[in-house]
Amino acid sequence: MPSTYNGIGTHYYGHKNSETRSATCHSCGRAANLESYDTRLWFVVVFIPVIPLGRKRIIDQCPFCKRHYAVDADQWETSKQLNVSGAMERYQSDQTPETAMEAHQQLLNFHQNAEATEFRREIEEKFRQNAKLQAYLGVALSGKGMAADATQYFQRALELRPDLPEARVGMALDHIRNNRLAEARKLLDFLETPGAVQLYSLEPLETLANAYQRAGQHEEALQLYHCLIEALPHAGQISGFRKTVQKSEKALKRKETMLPKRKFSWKNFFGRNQQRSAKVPVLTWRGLAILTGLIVIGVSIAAVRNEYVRRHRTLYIVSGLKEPATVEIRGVGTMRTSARAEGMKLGEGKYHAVVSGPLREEFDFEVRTDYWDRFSGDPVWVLNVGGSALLLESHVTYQRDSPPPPKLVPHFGRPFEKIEPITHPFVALPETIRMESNQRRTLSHLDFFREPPARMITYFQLNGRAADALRLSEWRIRLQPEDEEALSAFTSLAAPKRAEEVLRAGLQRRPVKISWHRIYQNLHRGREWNTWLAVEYDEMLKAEPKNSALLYLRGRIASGPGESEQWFAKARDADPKNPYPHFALGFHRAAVGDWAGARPMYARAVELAPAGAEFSEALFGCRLALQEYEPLEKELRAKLASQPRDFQTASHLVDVLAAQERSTEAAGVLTTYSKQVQSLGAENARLLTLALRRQFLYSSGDFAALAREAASDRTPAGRNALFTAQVELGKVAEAERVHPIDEPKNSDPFHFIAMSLAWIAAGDSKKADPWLQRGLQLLAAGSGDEARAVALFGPDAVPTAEQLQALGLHPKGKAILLAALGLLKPEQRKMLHAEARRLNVDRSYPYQLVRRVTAEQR
Amino acid sequence: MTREEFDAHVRQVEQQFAHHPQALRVRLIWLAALGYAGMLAWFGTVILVAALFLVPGLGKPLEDGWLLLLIGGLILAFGGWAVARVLWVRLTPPEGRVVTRAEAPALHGMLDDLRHRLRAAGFHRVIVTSACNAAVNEVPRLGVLGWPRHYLQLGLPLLESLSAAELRAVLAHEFAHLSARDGRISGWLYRLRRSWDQIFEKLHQPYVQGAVSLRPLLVKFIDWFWPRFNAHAFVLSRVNEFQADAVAAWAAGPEPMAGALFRIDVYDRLLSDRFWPDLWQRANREPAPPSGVFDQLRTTLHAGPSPEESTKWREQAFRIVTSNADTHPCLTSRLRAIERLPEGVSEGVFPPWPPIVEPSAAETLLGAALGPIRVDVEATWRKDCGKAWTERHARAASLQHRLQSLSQAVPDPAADVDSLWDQARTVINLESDAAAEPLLRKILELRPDHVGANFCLGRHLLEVGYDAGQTHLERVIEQDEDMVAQACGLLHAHFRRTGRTDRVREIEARLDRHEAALAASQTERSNITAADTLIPHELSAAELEGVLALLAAEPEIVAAFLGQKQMRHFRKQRLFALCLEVQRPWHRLPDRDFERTMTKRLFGKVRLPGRVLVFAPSGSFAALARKLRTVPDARIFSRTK
Repeated sequence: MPSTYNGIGTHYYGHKNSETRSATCHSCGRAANLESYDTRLWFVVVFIPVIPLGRKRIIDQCPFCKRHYAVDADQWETSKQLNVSGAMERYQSDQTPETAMEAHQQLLNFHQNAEATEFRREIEEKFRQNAKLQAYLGVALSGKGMAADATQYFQRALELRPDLPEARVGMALDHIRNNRLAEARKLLDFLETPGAVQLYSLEPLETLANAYQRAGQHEEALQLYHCLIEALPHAGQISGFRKTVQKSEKALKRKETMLPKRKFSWKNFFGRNQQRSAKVPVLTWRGLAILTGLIVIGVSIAAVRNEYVRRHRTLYIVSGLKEPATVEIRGVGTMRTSARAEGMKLGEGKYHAVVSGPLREEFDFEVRTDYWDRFSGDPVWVLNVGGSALLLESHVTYQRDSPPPPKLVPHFGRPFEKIEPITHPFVALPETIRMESNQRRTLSHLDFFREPPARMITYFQLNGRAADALRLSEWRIRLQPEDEEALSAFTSLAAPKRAEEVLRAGLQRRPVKISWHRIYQNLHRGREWNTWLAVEYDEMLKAEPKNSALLYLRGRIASGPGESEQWFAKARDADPKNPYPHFALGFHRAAVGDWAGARPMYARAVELAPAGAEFSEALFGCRLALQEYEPLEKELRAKLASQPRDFQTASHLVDVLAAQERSTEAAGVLTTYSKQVQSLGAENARLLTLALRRQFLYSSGDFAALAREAASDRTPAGRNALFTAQVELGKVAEAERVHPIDEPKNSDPFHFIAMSLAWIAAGDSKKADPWLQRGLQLLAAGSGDEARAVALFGPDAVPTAEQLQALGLHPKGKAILLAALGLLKPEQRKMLHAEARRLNVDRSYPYQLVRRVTAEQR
Repeated sequence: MTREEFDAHVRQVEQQFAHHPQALRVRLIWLAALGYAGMLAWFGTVILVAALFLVPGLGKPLEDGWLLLLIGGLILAFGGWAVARVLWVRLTPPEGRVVTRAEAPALHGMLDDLRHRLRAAGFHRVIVTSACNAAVNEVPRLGVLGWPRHYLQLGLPLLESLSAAELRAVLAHEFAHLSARDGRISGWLYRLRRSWDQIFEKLHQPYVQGAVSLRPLLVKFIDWFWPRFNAHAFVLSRVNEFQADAVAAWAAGPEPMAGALFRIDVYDRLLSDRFWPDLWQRANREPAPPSGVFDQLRTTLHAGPSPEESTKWREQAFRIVTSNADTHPCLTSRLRAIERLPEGVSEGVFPPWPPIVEPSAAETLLGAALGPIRVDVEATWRKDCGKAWTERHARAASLQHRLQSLSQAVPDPAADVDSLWDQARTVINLESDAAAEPLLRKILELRPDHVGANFCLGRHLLEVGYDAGQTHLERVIEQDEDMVAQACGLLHAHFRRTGRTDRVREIEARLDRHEAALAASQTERSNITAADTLIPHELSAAELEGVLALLAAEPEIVAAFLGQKQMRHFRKQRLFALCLEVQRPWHRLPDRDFERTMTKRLFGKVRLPGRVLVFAPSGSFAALARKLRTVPDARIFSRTK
């Protein structure tokens, strides 16, 4: 059947040579006037005929369901003429009732009603004495719905042959229509004989029985129904028939039914048996052809889409360089890089890239996926000029509650990369997406990492991805040697030999990168190293005697504080705007507890380099020592108001408040901060809040709470917090299990000395000794100042104020050292601990331990 | 492949491998392998198509490859199911009374002895049936893939009519088909042929009419493959039958073997031609199957036939010829092969009717179990035929009623062929052809070409052994092409029974030709296109006169062309094509509606000695019209201005 969708499809137009006949529709089963006609099938657009698809003969169109047969009109005409003329020719050559019936039947088959009528008139006269032909004509007319006309033929046939079953049935049906049921039954008596079902159809008997029932003659109806059940036992299982019989039985108030007991069947149970043939889905060849057609269309669309995808790939060209580069893809085009990713359309294949501008490189690359990946994969090809851009691949899961943290993968250092799957290349991910409540979806994003790379390094370090952190930090310092955070991360993560190689290679770079040199100088500890460094830097100073940076750096490796101060002074004089000499001179003041003397120098360093975290940290410590609480609080609160998520500011404020024992207000700062950082994402907020909380708990001395909180945290930060709490709670043995004495990679002498302090504070001097000896060993292998400090621990040594003044150590370490020394030298304890308390300013671990030890000894 | 082609193929194979049985076996093994490959290739195709999706799918992470895996899995599941559905043919095991070792130790002892002597496979079941036959039935557990169970069927009438020695020969013959004595391969090929024969027959039956199944494609392969395999296997199977006879003669002695072959043949005729028809006649009178049928059967066997029947059946037994419809050779050939063909058979002197021997094989081998077995076999028979018996009884009642009404309703039936034919048909249905013979003859007096009467009378006459029946059947073949197959079938059976090999072959060839022509002819007669060969109309002036008058009476017709289609089948039939050219100004397009009205009007009036297509040279008829114009003398009408 033709069909249209939104006016597009196939449709019949035209209606000629119409003929109708009364019959039962083959599709819906309703009795109707079925129509046959000629028409034309068109392909239509908005129901406007566009392409003719051929003339059709519509056969037996049902007025109710519109179902019909359709054949090619010319084929129909050919078939009709050949069959009809064939039958007519046979009749003409051999005029018997059989050939007459065949010819008439052919005319009816091809709906030649007029011709059939004419022919019927001819043969009814010609074979007037032939009962079979007369009966046939009756049947033929009945089939065309002309029951009244048929009766005369049946009548005639019956007169000729009263035994003829067709004639008896035809007349009986006429009697039934006219409600002459007794006459009808008489004629149909042969159907009531046993075995009649094997010779005849019993349908007329059922018609008669139903007629009796309608007429209220239930006794007769039941007699006939009984005959039917006897002849066709299966009929007794058909629901419709059973209901009909039961109706008559009910009318006669019969207590016993003639119906057989119904057999149980699941098909009956589910009501399937009645319309089985109509309803059972059967896959026909036509259905299969349609299905195959749809599959072919689907496969074709998929193949075209695949080919389109293959020919329309995007190469993203990115650069982390400050100056734009020119990228030429041979055979495709040229493009200049910018701050964002530039997309270049190309088909899959092998290419040659030429990069020029700030750097020059040439390489071959291939853009390719396998066939099936083009359907499901989301690959992205990135040409990263010189590997200079830092890209971040993030896989973000969307779900209603508590989505997991995103998975992050950095991409850098490679000139060409295929990254997949990426659903959102260089476009922002949606904040929310609409989906079912129990659903989860993961989108992947690739973009430049816009934050300082050090943040990513820190992230990797915190999440135990040391290899990623090392790779990233090395790439970063090669590209940006002045990135101190990357530099320090690199040196802490890389193998010492590798770190030395990398750092040494950058020493000759000019202008001198002080941070680079400082880290290089700090690579090793010991007098030999410093001596060797002094020779190296003296060589450099020969070439550049007025280089402030080199003068400063030379001061860092001088043999004593006095010499250092001279070098720093020279450096300051050589370049008053170099912050490092100011900072170094301030450090010297601070190391002897002269906080007031150190303050202006630190302040100058901060003034010259406000972004220098080390300078500002030192100045904060200095001001804390000078108890400038009020101005500090005011400044920090103001800064926090403008940068509410700045961790360093919040941390400083907590320290300031804790130093004043204003724990409640410090807790308030913590609460406010944790709210502010929620916008950074749940995981980030949790980590930042936790770090600040742990600092608050330690700074305010609530070690039990700190221990509770860190007990279940297996991260390095958590284990450190637990260690700290247990030391401060006097549970040194438990603390020792977290960081045992033989812990590899721990070479900080002050850690070991602090542990000896803890054991002594816990009352076990015996256990303190190995820790102290280990600390002193490490110290002895250190700088000149450290070696001198060890000498003070000699059994005969009597530390003097001058000796202590001459130790150019960091105040925090020096405080630990003096606290331990005080415990060993009872005679000088008072002086030593007083000095230690003066230097114990930094409120991070082991601030409270030192404070406690020095206080007890007071 | 037609019968004639099959016979030719069998003859060719026989000639080719006459002295090379080993080569025939090798050829058959290859053909069997091809058959299995042809059937298993479906699974291979499904696996291959599924692998196209599964292999790439397995090479990917699940989240990317799931769709491929799903498609591959669906193809594997549904394709595998569809193929399994196509190949799955279930053969039901034969039914009958199972005879256990405990019940009949003598019978099982004989079977064991033969099995050991002939190194044959054993039977899973021994069952006794109501047929006068013995057979090994193979029911494959895996459909076309084989793994059979062997059932030995022994007919109770057979057991009752043979001696123990003769039954031993029969059993030895059946064992020989399972025996390794003459090569397992031959036996396997013999059984494979029988098994595939049943299975392929079932494969030709669709599950649901109109539903999609791959089965037609498999059937196409089978239609190509099976005749080739069968022709080769047929030759081997026939050889196998002779070998089985030889083995049986060796194992049981040639005399019992010859006696068994002769006795089975003639006693089977006694039962099938007399005992069972007579018994079923009782269904017209008795509402339920009678009791003691197998006792009566035994009595009939003991009583033997009448002298006339004896002569007829003995003659038929020895005269019947071997045909390619069955691998079993005819009785004469089998007896000759074991050198026990009675003297005088070729001169028409046949051995006397073999009397029943005492004690029978049934009594000897079943012993005390015979009684219960007979009761059980009869009970099974009663159960099996109960419904048919009741239906026949009811039908008889209805037919009697019809017969009565016919005789009452038609005062002078002799004057009315139709009522005579109705009577004759009723009598045939109720009784037999013989009972209706007078009516049939009366019909033929009135209408000598009456197809039905000729057919029934011909059938009856051949049955009773009168060659006059041939004439009636030939008349049927001439008159009604729809009855050709049935009439030829009767003639074929008659000529085979009477040993007329030449006529058997002729009938087979005739049937082949008819079957090939019937379908093609129907297609040929129902269409005509430009692709057909058109020839001159070959009508006389008198025959054309009417048409020309009609054309002249239509002023719009300017020319007419007439030709006929060259018929390749049933050349007597004629199909004419009449093309009408209608007057039309040169600048106007054809008026299709007018042309159609014109052709329709003329079609109703044109009378030619055959089928006619009247058309105008437009639309899809244009090409036909162009071709028709090129036919000599096609232009039969031109209107001059």
